Amino acid sequence: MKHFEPFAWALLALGLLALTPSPALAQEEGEVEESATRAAFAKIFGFSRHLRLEPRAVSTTGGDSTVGLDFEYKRRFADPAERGDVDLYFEASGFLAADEAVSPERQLEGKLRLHVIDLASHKRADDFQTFVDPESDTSYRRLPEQRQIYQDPRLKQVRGLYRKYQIADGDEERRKFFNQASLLWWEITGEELTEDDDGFWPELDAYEGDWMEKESEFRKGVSMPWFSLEVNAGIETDQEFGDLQYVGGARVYGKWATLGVPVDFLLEAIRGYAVPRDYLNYQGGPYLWAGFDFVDASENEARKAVTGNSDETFGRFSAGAYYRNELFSFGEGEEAEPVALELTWEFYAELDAPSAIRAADSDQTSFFKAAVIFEDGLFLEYKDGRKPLDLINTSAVALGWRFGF
Amino acid sequence: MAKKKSKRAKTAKKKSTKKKSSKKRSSSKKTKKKSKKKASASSASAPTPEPEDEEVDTYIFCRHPKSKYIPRSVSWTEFREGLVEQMRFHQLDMPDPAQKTEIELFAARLDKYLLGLGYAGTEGARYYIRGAVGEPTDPMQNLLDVVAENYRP
Repeated sequence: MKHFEPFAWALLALGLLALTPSPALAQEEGEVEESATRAAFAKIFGFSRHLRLEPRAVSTTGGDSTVGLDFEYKRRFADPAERGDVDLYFEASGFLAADEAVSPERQLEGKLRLHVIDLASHKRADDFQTFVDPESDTSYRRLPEQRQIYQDPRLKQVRGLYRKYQIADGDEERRKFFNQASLLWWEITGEELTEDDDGFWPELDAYEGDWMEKESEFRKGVSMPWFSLEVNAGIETDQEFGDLQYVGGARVYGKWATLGVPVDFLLEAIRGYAVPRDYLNYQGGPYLWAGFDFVDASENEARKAVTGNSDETFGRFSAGAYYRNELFSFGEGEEAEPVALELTWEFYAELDAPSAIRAADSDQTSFFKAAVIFEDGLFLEYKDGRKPLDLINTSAVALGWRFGF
Repeated sequence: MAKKKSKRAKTAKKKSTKKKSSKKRSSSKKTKKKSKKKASASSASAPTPEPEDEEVDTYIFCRHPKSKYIPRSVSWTEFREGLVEQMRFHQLDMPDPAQKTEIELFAARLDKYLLGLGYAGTEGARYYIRGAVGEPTDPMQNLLDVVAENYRP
């Protein structure tokens, strides 16, 4: 129990912090009472609103099996910078196994995280015209007209009709808006405007798509990288709190689609068509992250058993990647049932690790997961390796369904 | 946070138990709803008021073939009345850094798209968008409210 005490205090403190409403809660005139009530309810019941649970059964290749629960809890605080590009979170996550001894994932985490978003900043001063609305004393940004999607007033009219079309009641009204737009489109472009069964106007969508490709900060001919910075502090532990570590660190994380092009081509060749049929498999990465943590393992019993109560603090490098794309598809058209491939890799290295840790082969750990996911959420998953708190390398196959509460 | 606030957004807010924890408002900063608001719900059955243009544009963006944040078959009504869980990044079992990246990208892309359509957006708009789509069990109306409050023609 001696290990439980610091964890309990830390969890209690962070939990109280997490359940306390932000000082910036909506407090509009006439709504103060209602907001206070909501805040009270949030304290009592708010927990579940930020909780994701995923029950699963796990079998290791050694023949052991157990059931358990993946969980993730999040709480987001008010924008410390009020500029739109900083986030502050408390998060807890992990896998609670009925039999931890055979669980391939022992590590639970609880951390405060500060995010500084979009390091390769796209917000150049000349990108926007800014003005202050005197009535509300609010500062606004606007794109210069020559950078906007629609500069021709008649095209703006077409786009306005598309908006009305999307929310129109009944086919007759939709037909009216489409016919008006179609005539205008012909006048402007000399080409026909069409509509499909799902209510898209492909020619107009393509026009906007061209703007997205050319003008977006993410795609200037090739896909541009997107990276953010996270600074974090918290704990890592096993579910019995015997192997507990205090961790603080920083990492860079982001996405760069260009790096995934070779795998994209490979999977495109396997499935035999270009664009994934399932929207879930669209723009699937790769996502990348790498960082450095300072770890205090003075209450990690498993580590101390190896090091003999020495070298209780150390530096740790970590990196990871995630990628998802469509592997193949059963059937065609509306009958199509796409199957996705999902790959996850994580790597951890203790810097200047003591000889006992190196001898125990614990100075570097890595974890790989490959999952094949069917349309209804059924998945078949293969895992290999271990995370820093796992004692041994484990290969495991898991079968389950994905859903959240 | 923008100080403009639509009547529909206020109605939705009162109906919901959702806290707008991300919104900084004070009585001195409050403003009237947008003058272009088009409909008034006056019947006993309280019909759904017409949405702001930027709300519908948010739906169009989420469903756009270049975005695909929701299935192409989702109607405006299904989108508006549904939960944030219908977004692609909540349907996937992404590791934490990947999901955060995707939510950040969504906020930045939606912001840029709305600016591209000619709207003016507040400095903090992306923060509120990320907050509105961060929890899968939150109503999509929260995102639409945030957009209505942070963008203007």
